[in-house]
Formats: sequence, C-alpha cells, structure tokens
Amino acid sequence: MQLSVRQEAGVLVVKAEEARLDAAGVLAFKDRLREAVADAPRVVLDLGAVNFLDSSGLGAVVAARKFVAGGALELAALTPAVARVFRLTRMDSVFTIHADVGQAVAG
Amino acid sequence: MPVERLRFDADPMAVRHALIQVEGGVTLASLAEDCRSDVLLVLAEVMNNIAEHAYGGGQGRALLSIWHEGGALVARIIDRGVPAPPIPADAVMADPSGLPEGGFGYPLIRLIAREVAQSRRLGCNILRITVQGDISP
Repeated sequence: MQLSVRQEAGVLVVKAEEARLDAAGVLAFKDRLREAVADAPRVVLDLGAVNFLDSSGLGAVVAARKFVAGGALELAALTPAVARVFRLTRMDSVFTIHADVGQAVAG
Repeated sequence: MPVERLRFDADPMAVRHALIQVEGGVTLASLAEDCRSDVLLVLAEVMNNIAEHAYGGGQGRALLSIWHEGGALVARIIDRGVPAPPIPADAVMADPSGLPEGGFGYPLIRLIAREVAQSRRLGCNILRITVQGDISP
C-alpha cells in the first residue's frame, strides 16, 4: 500500500494512495504506516482514495492507531463503502472521523 | 440473467482480483449501492477465509457463482479443501471499545447474509449465501 505523508499545522497527514485496503495488502500497509507515524504526536489517516475495506483492512486501521502515542490517530474522508464497514462493526464509535482532511487539521 | 461464474486461486491477491471482476459484472450492476457494498464485503470475508484455511495455506482453487433469485443475491462458493469450520450462527460483533484487530469476519457474515448454508459433498465444501437485495427493475 503506497502512502504519502505530509505535515500540516503540526499534524502528520498520512494518505493511503491505493483503492483497496484488504487482506492482500494489509501487511505492507501496517509496515509502512508504522514507519511513517514514528514519534508523530497526532496523525490523520486520509482514506479518501480507498473504496474498499474488508475486515482485515479494518483490523489494520485499528493496529495503526496503536502505533501512535496515546492512540492519537484520526480518520478523514471515508468513502461510503468504507464508512459502512465502520458503521456495521460499530468501530465508528471509537474513532474520530472527519469529513475531510481540512476539517481534521483545523480541529 | 445468467449465472456469473468465476474460478479463483485460494490466495488473497486472487480474491482481490475476483472481487474486482464481480464488482464490475452484470449481477451486481442492478443492486443498490449499499447492497452492492454489502455483497462485496461478505464475499471478501468468505473468500478470504477459504484462501486462508481451505488448503492449509497452500494452493488450491475455488469456484464462485452468483445470481439473482427472488429479489435476493445468491452466492455459492465451492472448494475442494479440508472440511470447512461452521460459521457460528450466534457470531456477535466484538465490543469496539476494546479496539479489536480481528474477529469481525464471522459477525459481518451473519449481519449481512440473510441465509448461510454450508454443506460438504464429494470432498467439496459448498457455501451458499443469500443477501437481501433492492434490485432495481
């Protein structure tokens, strides 16, 4: 899973650059994300390009949160299919989810 | 509408490609967006289970068939692997506050599928899943 990383107003914005976060791609995603967020105090994971997430992908996003000190990882720009998985599993109740990165960084 | 059939290797990348084909195929085209997402998700769960377990992590093939039946979407997956473990009827979603990293698969299958039927015949596992659909005319 390709990731792009940038700093914006003191927040590390990590964007997943591939369309699928699934069983086939989670190991690479977790490895790259772990590297990317090292020591970042606050991370926003931009999932705007991801249109498919399965249970493995969901588990990887949860794991990603544990890579950040204090669990300070928030999500942004969930597509409808991805938002639906978070809703069905009720994991939307334990993540801060922003409509877009702009709102995430402003907050 | 004909039955759509797809053979796939029991590995996660092949499952990904099979799902991409299903997503672009005729059977899913007439489904409402939410139903289409649910179908693809439940297929991902069951197909990745097969990829992980049916052949002991080794190589093998499986066959997916999907079709419309009485306002529902039916999927049947056949593999020649070891006897499939039953998908628990009472699988419930884990408490999200514990930040679980797994255990979502079975509860998602039970949440999305109206019917789940597992059988074994002639050394093959047969899984039949029904998802209630809003099929546009």
